Amino acid sequence: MARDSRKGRRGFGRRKVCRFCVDKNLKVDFHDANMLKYFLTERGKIIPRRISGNCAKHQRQVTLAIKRARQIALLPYTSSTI
Amino acid sequence: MLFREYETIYIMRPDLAEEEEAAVAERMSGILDKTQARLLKQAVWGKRKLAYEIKKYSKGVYVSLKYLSAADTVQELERNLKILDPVIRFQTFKIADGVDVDKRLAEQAAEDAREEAERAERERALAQQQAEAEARARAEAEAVAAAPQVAATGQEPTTAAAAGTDQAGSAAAGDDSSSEQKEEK
Ligand SMILES: [Zn+2]
Repeated sequence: MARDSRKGRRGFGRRKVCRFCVDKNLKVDFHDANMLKYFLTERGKIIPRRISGNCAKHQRQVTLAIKRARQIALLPYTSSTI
Repeated sequence: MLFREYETIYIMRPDLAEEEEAAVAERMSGILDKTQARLLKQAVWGKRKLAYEIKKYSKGVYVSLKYLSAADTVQELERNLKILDPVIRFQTFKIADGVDVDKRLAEQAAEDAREEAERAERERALAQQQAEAEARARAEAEAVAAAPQVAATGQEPTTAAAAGTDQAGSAAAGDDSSSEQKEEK
């Protein structure tokens, strides 16, 4: 979306917070492809944490889970469609 | 005794006979027994769409094996999976290190019991919903049957008549739309 890039500030957008820190019941699970899709771009690339808002710890878990899900074809490595 | 917890997921071709799928499962459980592994759970996820093609297949039958074992079990399982023709992909994930076997088995049993209870509860709720829907349908049918009697007693004859025409109108409209659909086909 429209980002305010002036003066290096990221504008007044709401600071994103880590979903997994907010909701302690939410677990990173490589079986749950639908949840992990949320952290992939349309092309299938992993969304960096500066965009997704994940904290470092949970981004590591998400990255590992996505890589595992890819190995068993639950998630794509890349998606040529779209 | 301290073991590791592993999960091996294998994907089979989508065009197998049931016996062929069962034969693979049997071979796997034989290896678990032979290597003194403890099975936590075998789950057949069934036929799923693959996120990318594997050996020209776009669908596959997923099976997950969760177990506690030493490393040699994994080696033996994977050696077999590699030479099994029905298997198009397999992957073993280490879930935990230094697992207390008895404690973990008890946890799994508790989890299975909880899932079973949840499943039973869902079924019960569904059955209740169906019963309520049937009761509602019966009540409505009785109300429709009772409606002419109300009109006959002379109470609110205009509304009863209006309702009658409304129903006729909607029925006619329904007929129209269905005939249009047929024409489109
Ligand atoms: Zn977090």
